[in-house]
Amino acid sequence: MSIQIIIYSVVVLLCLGLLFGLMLGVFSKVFHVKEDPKVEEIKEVLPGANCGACGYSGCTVYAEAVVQGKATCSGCIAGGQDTADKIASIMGTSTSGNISRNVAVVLCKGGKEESVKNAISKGASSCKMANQLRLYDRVCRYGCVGFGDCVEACTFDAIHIGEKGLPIVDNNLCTGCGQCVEACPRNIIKLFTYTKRVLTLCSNSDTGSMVRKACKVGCISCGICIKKCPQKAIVFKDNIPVIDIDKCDLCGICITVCPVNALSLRLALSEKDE
Amino acid sequence: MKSKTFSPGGMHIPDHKDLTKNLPIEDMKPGKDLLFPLTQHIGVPSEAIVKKNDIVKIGQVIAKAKGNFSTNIHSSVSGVVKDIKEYPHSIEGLSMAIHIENDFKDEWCEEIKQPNITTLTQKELAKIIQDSGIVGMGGAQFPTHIKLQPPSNVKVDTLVINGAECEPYLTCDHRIMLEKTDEIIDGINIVSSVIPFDRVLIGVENNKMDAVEAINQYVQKHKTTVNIQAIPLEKKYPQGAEKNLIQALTGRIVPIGKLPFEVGCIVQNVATLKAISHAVRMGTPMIDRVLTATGDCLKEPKNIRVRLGTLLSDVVGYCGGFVKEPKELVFGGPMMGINQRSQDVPVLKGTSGIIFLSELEDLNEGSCIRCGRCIENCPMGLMPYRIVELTKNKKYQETERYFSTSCIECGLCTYNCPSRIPVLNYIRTSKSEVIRLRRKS
Repeated sequence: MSIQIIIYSVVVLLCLGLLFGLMLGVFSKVFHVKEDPKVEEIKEVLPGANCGACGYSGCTVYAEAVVQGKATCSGCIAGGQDTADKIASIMGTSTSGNISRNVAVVLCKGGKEESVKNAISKGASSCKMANQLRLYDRVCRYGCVGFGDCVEACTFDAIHIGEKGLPIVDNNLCTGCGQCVEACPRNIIKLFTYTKRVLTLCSNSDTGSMVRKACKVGCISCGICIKKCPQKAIVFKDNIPVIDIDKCDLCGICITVCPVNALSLRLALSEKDE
Repeated sequence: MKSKTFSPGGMHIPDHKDLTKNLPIEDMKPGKDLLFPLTQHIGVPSEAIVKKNDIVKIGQVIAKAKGNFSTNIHSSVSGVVKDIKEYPHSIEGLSMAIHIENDFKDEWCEEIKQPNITTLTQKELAKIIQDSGIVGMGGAQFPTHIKLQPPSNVKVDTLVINGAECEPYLTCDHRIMLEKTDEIIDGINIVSSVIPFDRVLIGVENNKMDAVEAINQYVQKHKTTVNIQAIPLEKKYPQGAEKNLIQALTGRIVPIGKLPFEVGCIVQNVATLKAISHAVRMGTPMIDRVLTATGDCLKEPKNIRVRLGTLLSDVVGYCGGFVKEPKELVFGGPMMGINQRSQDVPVLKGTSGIIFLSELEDLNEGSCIRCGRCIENCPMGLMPYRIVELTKNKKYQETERYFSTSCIECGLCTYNCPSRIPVLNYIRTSKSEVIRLRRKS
């Protein structure tokens, strides 16, 4: 190989490099887009998880919408009150008040030991598949199938499958964005405001005898909680007791009388979660 | 004669038919409790017309067709209606069903008498078939009267009869072809008297050469108006699939998303033709079917004629119980059949076999190694591994570009996968998701 070829190629590459560099420089000036510095500032305070709970496809899009006045300052559900205040101060306004904090609750207690099995689960890799093709091993048609679609959906690492084979929500990490709610094919994950309240941790709306065959901790719709409730705060809806949070005074009688231990106190703000 | 077949795809899998292929069909007495689910066909569920504590007799209509895309359901025993509520169902999981307690009197409904029929029009035949509750007995349970009413703008010249029975273990169609040849040919005569076919082709895989000979000899002996011919096919699964059978027998290819009408064919199962013959000649509705109860767990594998609605546990009892504890319990063939969760499920119109297997296949999913075996064996020429990839990434709608909805769910992709990926499960998931999204929009 002669030295000439090397020189030629070096020169040609140099020229090309100079030319393209020049073009980039010119075009960046000509087509410069003026970006509001506020967008960058808002992006800094947002959680950056792109969870989509605000209704926009990601944090950047939401930040742009806020600056353009299309979205309110308190739109970021994952960030909560803190983030809303920060965004408001960047925008020079103030937020109207409290954003209630939501957390996800799995309305099923039927883990590996509690639920009755009548098949061998095989060939399923997600809850969606197992639910659609009935590849789960449990009898219950309503409860958790335990393949962890919610775990996969959570961008905040707040849900994990626990020892019982049931998803456990970490209330400190959960932002209430609702991605797990969307992901659950059985619709047993629901969002609740983060206060102390009694919930029925069962979603089986079959009759008592059928629930008995399916799960040890399933609500058998016996109605004792309704009878014993001093506040008359409990009513049946689809064979599941629903507790009226306005009437309930958290006495806990319903939890102690429940024969299958389906009711439980959840989302205690001051106390540690049971 | 050289055996015909289809291409591309398909393969021969060990057939295990020796267990039952030489056993004549036995009549099984019905048990005490029978269940009649209201969904025993593709389409709209039938509507129950009996009430609790009603007395019913054999052949009495207990559920009426709701609209055209539906069929009647008849009681197969005489007895009392115990309840109408949700019961286990072999396909749906749970479904509304009529529970009838057998009184063992075996009284026939008075309304059933031998009809005096000389000539039939297409409409009349379709009416008889719908009233008799006849659906495709190969397993898909498609209402037969709809298949026999092709749109008027297409010319149908070939009746394709499915006697391929490509699924392993099953031998009930084989036994029907040997023992009830006359009824099958009679069924063909009835159907071809209303639809002018040029030819009738019966496709039989060449592991059943005795059936091919039996049919051809019968046809030679008894002159028939239409040209009937039994044709041996290569042993190759899934030859009994409608589109593949048409290709193997006639060389015509049914376009994607189209029905056999488009290429001038109507496909019927041998057992369905036998049922048509019964309904037209004797007026008996569909109250029983022949099925194969087999598998390595069963003490005495058998080909049996059972009353529809018979519980699986009664069939097990009739076959002498188990020699081994079954780990898998399949309704239908082992490739396309559906795993059952309990022995309380009833026999449906499309239950061609009940298989009890002691071995559980290992399905610890590995990674796709791109060997291409799923593509090589796919009888529809699809690319299953691409559909799996897209389904894993939740891009359900994009799977339509790879024709996921054309999948016939034969299961060869899962059967052949060296990484034990449940390919078909992924395809089924994407299919139902695509259909759900389509309905939404």
